[in-house]
Amino acid sequence: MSTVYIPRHILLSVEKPARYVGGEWNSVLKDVHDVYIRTALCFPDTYEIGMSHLGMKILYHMLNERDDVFCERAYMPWTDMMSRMKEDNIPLYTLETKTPLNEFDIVGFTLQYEMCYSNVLHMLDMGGIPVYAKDRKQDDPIVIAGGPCAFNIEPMADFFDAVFIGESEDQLSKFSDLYREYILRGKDTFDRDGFLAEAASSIQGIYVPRFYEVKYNDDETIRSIRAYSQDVPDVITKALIIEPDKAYFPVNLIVPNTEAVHDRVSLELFRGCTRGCRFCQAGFVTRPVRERDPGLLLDIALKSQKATGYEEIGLLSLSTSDYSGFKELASSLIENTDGTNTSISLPSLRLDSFTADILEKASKSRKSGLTFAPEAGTQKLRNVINKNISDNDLKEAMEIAFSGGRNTVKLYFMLGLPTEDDDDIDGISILAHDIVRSYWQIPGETRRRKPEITVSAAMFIPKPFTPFQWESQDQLDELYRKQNYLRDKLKSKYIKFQWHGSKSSVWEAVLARGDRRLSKVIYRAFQEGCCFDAWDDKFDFEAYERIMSEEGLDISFYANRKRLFDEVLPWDHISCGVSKEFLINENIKAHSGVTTDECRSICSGCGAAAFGGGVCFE
Amino acid sequence: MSKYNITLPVSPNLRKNEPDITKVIRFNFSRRGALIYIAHLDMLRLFERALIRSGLKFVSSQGFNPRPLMVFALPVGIGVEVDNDLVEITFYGGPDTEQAADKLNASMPPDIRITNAHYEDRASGSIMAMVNSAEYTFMHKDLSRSVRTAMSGEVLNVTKGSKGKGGKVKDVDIKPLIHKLDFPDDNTIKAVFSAGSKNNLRPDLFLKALTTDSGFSLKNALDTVIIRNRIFLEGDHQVAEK
Ligand code: SF4
Repeated sequence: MSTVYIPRHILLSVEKPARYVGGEWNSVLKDVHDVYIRTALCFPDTYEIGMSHLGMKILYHMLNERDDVFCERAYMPWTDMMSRMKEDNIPLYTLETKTPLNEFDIVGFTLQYEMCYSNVLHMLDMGGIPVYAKDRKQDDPIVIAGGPCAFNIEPMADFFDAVFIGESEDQLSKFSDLYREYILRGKDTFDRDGFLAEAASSIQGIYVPRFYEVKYNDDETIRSIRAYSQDVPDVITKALIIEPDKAYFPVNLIVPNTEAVHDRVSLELFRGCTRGCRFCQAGFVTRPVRERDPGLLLDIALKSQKATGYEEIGLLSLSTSDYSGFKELASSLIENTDGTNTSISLPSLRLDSFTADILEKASKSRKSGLTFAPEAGTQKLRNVINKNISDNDLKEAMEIAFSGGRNTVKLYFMLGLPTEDDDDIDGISILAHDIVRSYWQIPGETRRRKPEITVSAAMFIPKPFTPFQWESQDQLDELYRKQNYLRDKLKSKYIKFQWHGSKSSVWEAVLARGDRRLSKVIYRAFQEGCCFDAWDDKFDFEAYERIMSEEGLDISFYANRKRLFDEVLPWDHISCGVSKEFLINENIKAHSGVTTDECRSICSGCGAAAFGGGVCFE
Repeated sequence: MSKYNITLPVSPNLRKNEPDITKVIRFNFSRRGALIYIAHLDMLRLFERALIRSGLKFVSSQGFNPRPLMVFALPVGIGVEVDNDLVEITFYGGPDTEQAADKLNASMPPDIRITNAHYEDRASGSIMAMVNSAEYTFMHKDLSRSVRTAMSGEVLNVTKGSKGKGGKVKDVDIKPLIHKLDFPDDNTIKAVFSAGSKNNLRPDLFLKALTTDSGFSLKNALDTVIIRNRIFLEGDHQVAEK
């Protein structure tokens, strides 16, 4: 057992050393001799981003409530720290006890976005753990992963021993139970493969990539994905907590020592989404909607606020105002924080007069800007993507916002959506100019400042388990053309145009729908020093392009190719509960501009009712 | 319509029920361990959150972004251990000082400890304006020799300012800001520096001065343990003589 010593001169010569020392309020310390299992949870991005993530905090506190487990944390060191650590041969360590990662029993990664993949490899390597799962020996940690990216883990399949698909709370508890059973039988005789096979066969949603064989056709598409043995499932179905009110939820949340990106109490109102926007992976893989009781939520919110000292409570869910207890919860949160400095933040709201009133009372400080996500510029295209927002809804929302004294609005759009043509891009510009015009129509005494309308355009990225999983992404030069086209149309000086890295969207599209052959590309990129790909100024697209072609792989095969419905997709052996037939049907409807109702109006039989709960049975 | 029909508890409006009397408590505190690596802004945030967690009824500023009325005597830099710094916080009513200290301690990470608390009833003025000097301990095996060499010169210059765009670089003599130097053993020096809003010598700047003239390496400077032993306020004692 060893403790890593980090000399003062290193900590004092890197940016924000507070990220590397631990000692946070509500962080957990245990005697390592008192526990059977030492687990390290890793977030493959900076401390500030990782400490903003609710899911990892839940698992951290959940595991530490057990007497037999000590769970610690590690984050990706920023490049300055990374190079200092490498120079001095300092292994990547956990913040609690400064133990190198390779001394843990279980090392888990949370994968929130594909662009963190190269960081995962760096963290394994710096932690002294063989990067490839096949190279790990008896006494190396079991390396696991979970999070949204687990739904298509194929590009990272070679690096993980087991992947947790779906919601991890129960899985991780059972996995830890099983692991304890195995080590109690004797650590020296610990049978890695036996343990992984039993986990995969007995715990829902656990996928061990190396137990499956992938065969390819001559045209590079996949012929088949089959389990080598009958003991593990042919199709791995995600795990989920069907009654979220019964799920573990910590109130004594860890509080970072330096400001995190989201530094507040996050309150998860429900899991899932009823809307079915056709580009949105989260909306499908988290089905069905399962709500939590507003009384319970209020209790959790007030207790966590006391236990953390945070002055902000953020409501967290995919479409906050769809929560059926929204009015009760929002009003009571506001009443209960009245007279204190605590403010409530409400993302993803649909603005009507009630929510405008709530917003007014919720934020204690200066009126914050509002954000809306129409995603597409015309009704026609919004029907294609099933984004249920009309021009009229937007107009009304703007009127409410402006007459309430706000002057800044941010609008999110996507470029490159299926069936999009230049008229749809014109539509974005028309919408934005209409909003500017509507600002000047409100009574003069209400508008003290000039309007500031931001149009933010992201690139469409086709994602697995969505009705658009077969679609092609626009070629890079077409994406550039559309960006420029839109920029030239947005003439008003009150409109600001922002867009996101097109190259990184292409690479994200490759990884999102990638197969196992990409593992070697990610490995080589890591060896060449690629890291922090999610950071635009760090991302090196040219390196990935070159490595792809050196490995005989083609970016456009993954990003720009339209798949046929009968093609075997790299994630076909995984199930999120939504059937492929439903997704095909949604795709066909999209191309004929037909919308689908949300779950509460009409159930469209997506398949998620098989989980036996939630909105499907309301 | 919502499927929920519940009545939720409502707490009384805290601000309306506050008694009008406000009192200032001055706390002495130490900081060690991991928390010596957090920046001053993070210290402020940490104390604010600990205050909220403690349940003590503190007074906040008015305006758009209300903050607790809390004033640190002297900001503390990254990497500096603290034996006995001072912070003043304004409370509603008159909480028992010992209880207030206990509650704050129970709400703080263990690396920060409140060591003393008492009422401060001066009529006006910020504690920041009262600071005049601070005592530091430095520890490094090659330190005393370098300091003796450095202090033997007429002046002790250190380059201030950044070399970046538009930045002005100038040499400043910090010798007049050093009021006392003791050498308890070969590895340790104790020093009293000017501190506060008028003249302030930061301990890391002192170490930096050694690296320019006296052969003390930058690595040594960064590795030197720095402890701020205490802060002297006006009237605390005579420090003017060298
Ligand atoms: S089965 Fe019906 S109600 Fe349930 S998630 Fe699917 S569409 Fe919605």
